[in-house]
Order: sequence, then structure tokens, then C-alpha cells
Amino acid sequence: MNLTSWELTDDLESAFHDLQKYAQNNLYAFQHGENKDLSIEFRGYISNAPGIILDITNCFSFNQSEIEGWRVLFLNYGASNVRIGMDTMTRTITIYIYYDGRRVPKKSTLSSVYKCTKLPMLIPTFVWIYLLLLVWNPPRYQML
Amino acid sequence: MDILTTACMEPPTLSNALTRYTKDEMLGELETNHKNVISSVLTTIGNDVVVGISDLPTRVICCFKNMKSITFEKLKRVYLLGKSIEKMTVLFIVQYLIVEIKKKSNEKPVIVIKKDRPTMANVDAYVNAFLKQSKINPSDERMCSEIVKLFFRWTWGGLAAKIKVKKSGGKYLFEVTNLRSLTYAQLSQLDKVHESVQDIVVNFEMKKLHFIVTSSEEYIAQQQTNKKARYE
Repeated sequence: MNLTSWELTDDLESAFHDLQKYAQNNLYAFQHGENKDLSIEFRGYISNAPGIILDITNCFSFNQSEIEGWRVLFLNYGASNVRIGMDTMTRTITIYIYYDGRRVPKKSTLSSVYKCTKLPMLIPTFVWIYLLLLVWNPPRYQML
Repeated sequence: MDILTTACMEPPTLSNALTRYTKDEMLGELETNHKNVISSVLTTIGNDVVVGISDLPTRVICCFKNMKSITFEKLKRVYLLGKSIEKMTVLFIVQYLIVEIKKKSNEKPVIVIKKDRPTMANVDAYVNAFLKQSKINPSDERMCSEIVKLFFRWTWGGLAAKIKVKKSGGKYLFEVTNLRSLTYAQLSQLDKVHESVQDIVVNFEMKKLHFIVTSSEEYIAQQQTNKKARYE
């Protein structure tokens, strides 16, 4: 039995399995140069929250953008949090993926701002030009 | 004595992947007391191991590999070899034993305080759930819950360990897998839980820790037999 503070249901187990497949499918993008032999190994479950731990082994060079890439990969999949640790002795990157089985991608703070700005783009351009002229010279362009 | 060495903490290039050094060549640049400690460790553990040595400014890190298993008693003998052994860690996944020998340093050590500790109430609830599943005798629940609590504390926030408990006569055989690493301090904490925790063995091949816990009834019966034997 796993020593976890949460229950591992069948649904969660299959969700974690899908997550592992997703990680495996995206591994090719990082396998280049000295890291040609990168491989992903599933280590187990996180003890204090629903999630899994993956080890990326045979990692000879670490790069900030690639490490951030791993983080964004899992956050876009639906993980609520991703922690990354590095062990230079064993050449391993350890990824703690906190995932509760629901594929809800993390929204950025700007997404709600983007939604508000999207609405004005539906209004035709000539309406904006008319409003500008109205502000510039109200007696001449006022239609009423 | 020839000892096969690997270069620890260096990427294996074609020129320095595996080189057969003699013992003197390997330990040549280290201080005498460090050399003595490493030689004693090798004598205790066994000479058929692969050793990697990293000589750093504040410590010497020795990695021992190729061991099938090691008992807690052997680890204790290694640890008691002198004050200079600062820390010993067993890495289960890569199957290393790491011994850190400290050098004299005038700098103040940095102490890291971990914030995310499990609260006692939470740990009790999880441990009780585990014990119910494992079908342990009510008389042995306290002992086993102390042991399971230890593993919970050690693995909190990290890789969840797997514990299997088998009852065999008057003893419980505990098998703990899915561990990343354990230090000597943690193993000695486990040993100190009670006298009935015995035969702590780290199995590198199977990547597990196993130990025996004598049930309370068996332990009391053994104590009474010993008393009778003493007075006869």
C-alpha cells in the first residue's frame, strides 16, 4: 500500500497513465545534443497531494529554457503545480506533477484581459472612425 | 590492492570512463586521516565494490556501488569509525551508498528550516487507515503505527513509499519499497523505536528496505524465557 494522504482511485490511476503517455510523446523535443539518451521513468506518487513523480534520466546538460519547457508542458496539460529538482550526481531531473485528474489547463492572468479586449474588435471600423470624428468636431458630425 | 574506480560527478568521456587504479594512486591526493577512513570503510563493507571519490573543499564524498545488500549493523560499524564521517546516505534508485567525510571548515553552516511538515493529527488519520488495511493485531498497533509514522514523516512531500507487512508466526516482516534515499540517522531512528525492531537490511538489488518487528506477545514471552533462564 502506498503511504499517501489521498486515495488512489481507478480513475486517477488511468488519468496518471495518460499523463505519463503525454510526457513520453513530448520527450523527443528534448532529445538532442548531449541529451540524446533522455528517458522518462515513472517513480511513484506524491505523498501529500494527488500527483506523480517522473525522473528524466541521462540528462547531461541543463538549460533554463528547457526546464521551463517541461514545466509549461505539464501546466498546459492540466497540472495545478509543477516542481522541478535536479540531481547532478545521478544526472536526473525530478519532476513533481501535482495533478488531480481533471484536464483543466492553467489560465494565464492575461486571458481575462484578452477576453475583454476581444469584444471591441467585433465592432466595425467605420463606427470607430465616426466616434473619433464626433469627439473631434461634435457640431459638424452630430447626426441628431 | 587493485580497486576499480569510476570518476564520480564527472561526465564519462572516452578517456576517463573506467580506469584501474591501485589503492595508493586512488587515495594519493587525499589527507592521511581521510585515506585511513576510506580504507577502513572498504574493509568493513567489503573490497568487491566500485568506489568513486570526489574531493571537495568542505568534504570528501565517497560513492560505493556494486553491493547486493548491507545490514544496519555494518552501517553502524562504518559510522563509528570516527568523528570525521559526517553523513551516510543510501540511494535506493541508483543503488549507491554515499559516505561524506567532513573537512575542517571555519564557515558557519547554513541551516534550512523546512516549513511543510505534516501536522500530527493528519498523520494519525493516515496511519490508522493504513493499519486497518494491513490487518495488524490490536496489541501491536501502537508499535507498528510508530514505525509507519516515521516513514510518513520522512517521505512527506516526496515519493510515497510502499509498505508491505506479512505476519509470520510471532513476527511482522516489513518490506518498504519506492524509497529514494535514507540516511544513517533515519535508519538509527528506526532502530531506536523499540528493541523488537531487528534485522534492518538495505537490499540494493531489489531496491528495498526490510526489517522484522517482533509482536508484543512474542516479545513478552521471550523476555520471560530469558528471565527464567537467568534465574535457573
